[in-house]
Amino acid sequence: MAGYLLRRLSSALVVVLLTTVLLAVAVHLVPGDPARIVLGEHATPDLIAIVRDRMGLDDPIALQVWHFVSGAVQGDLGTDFVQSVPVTSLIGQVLPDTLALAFASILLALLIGIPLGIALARWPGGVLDRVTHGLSMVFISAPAYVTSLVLLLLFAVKLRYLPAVGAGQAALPVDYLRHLILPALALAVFWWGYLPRLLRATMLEVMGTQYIRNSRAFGVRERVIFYRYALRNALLPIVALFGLMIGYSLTGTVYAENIFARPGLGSLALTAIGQRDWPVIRGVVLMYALFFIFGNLLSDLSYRLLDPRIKPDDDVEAGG
Amino acid sequence: MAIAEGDIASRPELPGRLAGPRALLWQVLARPTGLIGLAVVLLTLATAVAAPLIVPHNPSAISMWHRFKPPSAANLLGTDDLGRDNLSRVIYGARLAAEIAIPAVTSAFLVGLLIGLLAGYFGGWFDRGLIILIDTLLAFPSVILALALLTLVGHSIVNTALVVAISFFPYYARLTRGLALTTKYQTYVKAERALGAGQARIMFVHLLPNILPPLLVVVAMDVPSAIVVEAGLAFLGLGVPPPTPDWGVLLNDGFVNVAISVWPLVGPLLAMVIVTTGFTLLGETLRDVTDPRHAGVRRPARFLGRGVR
Amino acid sequence: MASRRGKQAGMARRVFLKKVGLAGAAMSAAGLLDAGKTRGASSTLRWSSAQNPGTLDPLTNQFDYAFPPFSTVFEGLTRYPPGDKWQAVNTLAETLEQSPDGKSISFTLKQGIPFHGGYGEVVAEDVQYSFYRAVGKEKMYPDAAKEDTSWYAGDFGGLQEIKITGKYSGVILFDKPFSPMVRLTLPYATSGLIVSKKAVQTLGKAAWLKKPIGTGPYEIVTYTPNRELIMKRFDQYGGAAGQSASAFPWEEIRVSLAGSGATTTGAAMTAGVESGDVDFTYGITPLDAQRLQGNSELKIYGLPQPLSYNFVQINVLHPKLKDIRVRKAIRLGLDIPAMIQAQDLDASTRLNALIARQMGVGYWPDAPVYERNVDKAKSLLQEAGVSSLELDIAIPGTPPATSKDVMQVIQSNLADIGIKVNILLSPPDSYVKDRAVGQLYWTNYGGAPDPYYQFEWFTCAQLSLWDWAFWCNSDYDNMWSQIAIEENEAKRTQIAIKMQQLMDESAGFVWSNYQFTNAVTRAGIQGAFDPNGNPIVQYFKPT
Repeated sequence: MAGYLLRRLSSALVVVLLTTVLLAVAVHLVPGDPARIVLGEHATPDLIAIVRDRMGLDDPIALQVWHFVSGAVQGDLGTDFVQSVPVTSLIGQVLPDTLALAFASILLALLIGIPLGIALARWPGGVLDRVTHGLSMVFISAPAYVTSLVLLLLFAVKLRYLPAVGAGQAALPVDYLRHLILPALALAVFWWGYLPRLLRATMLEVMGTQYIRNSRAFGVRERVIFYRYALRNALLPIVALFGLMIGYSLTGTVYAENIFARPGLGSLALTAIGQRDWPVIRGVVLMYALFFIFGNLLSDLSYRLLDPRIKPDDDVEAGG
Repeated sequence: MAIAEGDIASRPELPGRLAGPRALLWQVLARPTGLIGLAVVLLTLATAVAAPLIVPHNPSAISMWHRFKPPSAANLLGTDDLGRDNLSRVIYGARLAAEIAIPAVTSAFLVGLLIGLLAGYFGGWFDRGLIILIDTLLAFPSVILALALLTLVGHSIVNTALVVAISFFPYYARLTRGLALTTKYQTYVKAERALGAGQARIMFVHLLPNILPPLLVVVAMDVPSAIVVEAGLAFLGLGVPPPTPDWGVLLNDGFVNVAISVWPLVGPLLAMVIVTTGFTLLGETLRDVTDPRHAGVRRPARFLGRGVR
Repeated sequence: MASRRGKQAGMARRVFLKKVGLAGAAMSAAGLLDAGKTRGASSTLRWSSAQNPGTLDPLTNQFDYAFPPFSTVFEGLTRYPPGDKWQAVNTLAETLEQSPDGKSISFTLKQGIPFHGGYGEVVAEDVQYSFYRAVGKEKMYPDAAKEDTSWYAGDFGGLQEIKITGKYSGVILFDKPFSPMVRLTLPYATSGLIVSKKAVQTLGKAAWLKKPIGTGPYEIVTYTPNRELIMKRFDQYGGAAGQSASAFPWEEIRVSLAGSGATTTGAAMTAGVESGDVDFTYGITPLDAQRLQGNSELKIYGLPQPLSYNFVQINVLHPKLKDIRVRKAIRLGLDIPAMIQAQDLDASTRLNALIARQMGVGYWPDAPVYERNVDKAKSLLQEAGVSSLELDIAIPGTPPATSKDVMQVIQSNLADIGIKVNILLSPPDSYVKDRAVGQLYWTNYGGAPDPYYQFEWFTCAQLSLWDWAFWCNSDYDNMWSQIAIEENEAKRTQIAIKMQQLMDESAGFVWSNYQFTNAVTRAGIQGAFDPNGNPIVQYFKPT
């Protein structure tokens, strides 16, 4: 296990490194003068010279890559073009809002998804089961922006129950939460389709195992079997899902922040794209990649840890 | 040792042995989910193909005097910010979705297939290097990757399809590679090697035919994902140029003016929900039919593996 | 006059007033504004979704025109008060006189006007320092780096020297007369604002940019780019604008800043003012203004911006567009009223030449009005031997929200005469630079109250910069230099008309309309705006 952990960790680090390098080099992969491209229509000879100097474009490429990578390792992602502020400070300003949204959506997902799944396993084949089966198909199919737009339409525009825009005032928790509900809901919907089905299937599978049958034979009460044994086993894969849930939420936030006009990493990225502020775009992409990579890593490790039945696909290679 | 071993999140998922296509079809149709799913998929394709024939109005016909009109006999879904018929635009959107998603997925598949085969078969450093590259690409949520790429290369229909393809091919490459590895160590292949058969022959004559059918099913089921990604990019303003009535563009236009009129949004929202659900139903049924072991228990990677949505 | 170094000047003035409809951090600001939800009764004016000024220095900001915080924190020798008349009045100047030959301007300052932060009173040396900074005769900061240069030196023409004749008096000397100085630079441009020499030299670059020192009724408290700007009333305000500090109703003005480039339209932008979180929102679309009309809690303002103009530029040097008949055909094929409608404006904003009537000088009342004529356009194309022409149109820069719609109208109009138009949403930078690439442009330029400034963008020096029509005419250039030197308004108008005639003959420019924006305040507040629709927040009053 330790060997596996080390291997996965090192591979994750290699990927991170390569990502950073690619981002540093990316701007050169496009034909044309990177400074010009990045400045767009703001480009004038003087500004181009300044930007080239700031981007270090006239240094050898290897040196530029080294600058960015070494800076990134120390937590310095360069300074942006528009206001010359450190990219990390721009990211730092908005990261809490994105994280709040991501975690709120995960919380909502779990709070509804798990009890629903338990209920489905408790009464399989019932009315609830059939209703949710249909709905869950819709929930897992609809992309994050579609659910966001539907919720926006329903609750904020038509019914006007909840605020449609912004993050609310952080100083007033109730207000902030009110603004958090719709976007978090939009991102939780997918999991409401997925989690209950997963839980149901896993629990039913577990309930059918030898161990459980033996427990029944020994006289352990049904309720205890259900909640103590089956549920606990069924919850394990969900724990492993946590990393993936983070990844999904983060992608979803790009859309949710746009649609609900919330500040966050996604909004920052979109603004930067409009301003062609490459250092910010680069920094945000790196942040997302980092979250994603480590989310996946967490997820893989959890699977490995929790369910030794699952073999990594590369064990196949061992046959060579 | 390959870098990404144990990457369960991207574990290839294939239906098991496929029965003959006719039998498969009957089995799918026998289930209500399969019936509905197949109907939706066929309807979508039919709409895409027949769009020019069935649109009530020219989707690009601007009429500045009829902006933001609610539904009426002439415009069943109302008009948009330039007086164009919403229904016609949604219908054409199906065509565009197909026009972008299918080539994108196809080219991603071909590229991924080639790379995966080569990596899987030849192994060694080549394989390892490719895996690192692939994993790096897979590290980005596809939206983010697409954002960065489109910033650099600018956007057009071709670039969008290209970017979508780039976010999909790593997955196919890994899939193919995994399969190639499995097959490589089969006894009969070893036997062929022993008998002196060349690499190419083994790859094309033995590997390919075995992995193609399940792969093709996977690819076909990825078309809605491609539509979702591409529409998402278009929604963020990074898609095709105006006046193309791509669903993502329609969503964006509708969203921007949602306070003035909600009707431009209704059509594309419905379309996306119906099409994605239909494909999901079909996909689920196919999976249930061909691989009952995994019925009901699905790794979310199938939906999330590419960081899509 | 000396050619402009670099284009930052124009670039900064080109603040495209409407941005793409990508929701962004616009309403993030709402989260930062004061928690007090008291409507209108508080003495804080809360303004959301303002544009980012960039830096706070009058010489390197994104605007270069009279916009908060510059018009709130600094003052110049003169100013344009709120209203609809372009009539400059003295601010820091007690007297201002131009010499008969136009080559010098002598001024005396009001006495006893204090700078913020205890940096003493305004003296002639500060005027000299401010203007020398602007033209590069003085370093921007005592610790200025090589790249710290003023962007707006061009606002001063051939300024040679400023002689100090007394503690409060001086003479500004030019090598040639420069009319825009009096109409544009002194009252309107940020480059004409007076800064404290002592403050700049004591504070150095970093501290100065955090909290610049002016004489205005408000001073900067904090500035966080892309988030917030807070100003508080300057209680020792010297009254240069004719009233003392206590006459300004707001103790504090809080401005939340959208990341420039991603303000939203619609509900996102107006949600704050609708709910009372915010007192004032500027730059909403006409459609939003319409939507809010019935709301009794709000006051809507329609703000024409006749100095800022929208038009189509046609690259006269492009192989497909070289033939003037093709360009004329395009001009006749466009449906200008439909294009205006696509911007949600009405026909009263239509322009037939560069200078709007409201400018006062340079207006060409007899400019030809081109009505759409599809048949004539088609026959012109036939004459030119052109068929199945395909052209690109783009809007370089950050496009206003309605530009996609306008371009689609243009696309549809030209399809009617047989030209297929491709809309490039993000054109490559060669679209502006390379005469073989750029074709059609939907253009939105911000203007200033002097025709000299409006005309500058189409001189030969602007090829590959802002002259997207790639039009270069030496007569036009000569007349442009003349219009700067000429003092007499009637004569300037004559020159301006001739210049506009040349533009018309080139068929490289198809005029559409001047810009128009809307603002909204809570019902208990009365806004104040200058003749180009810029908000002068210090004059907003609770009613």
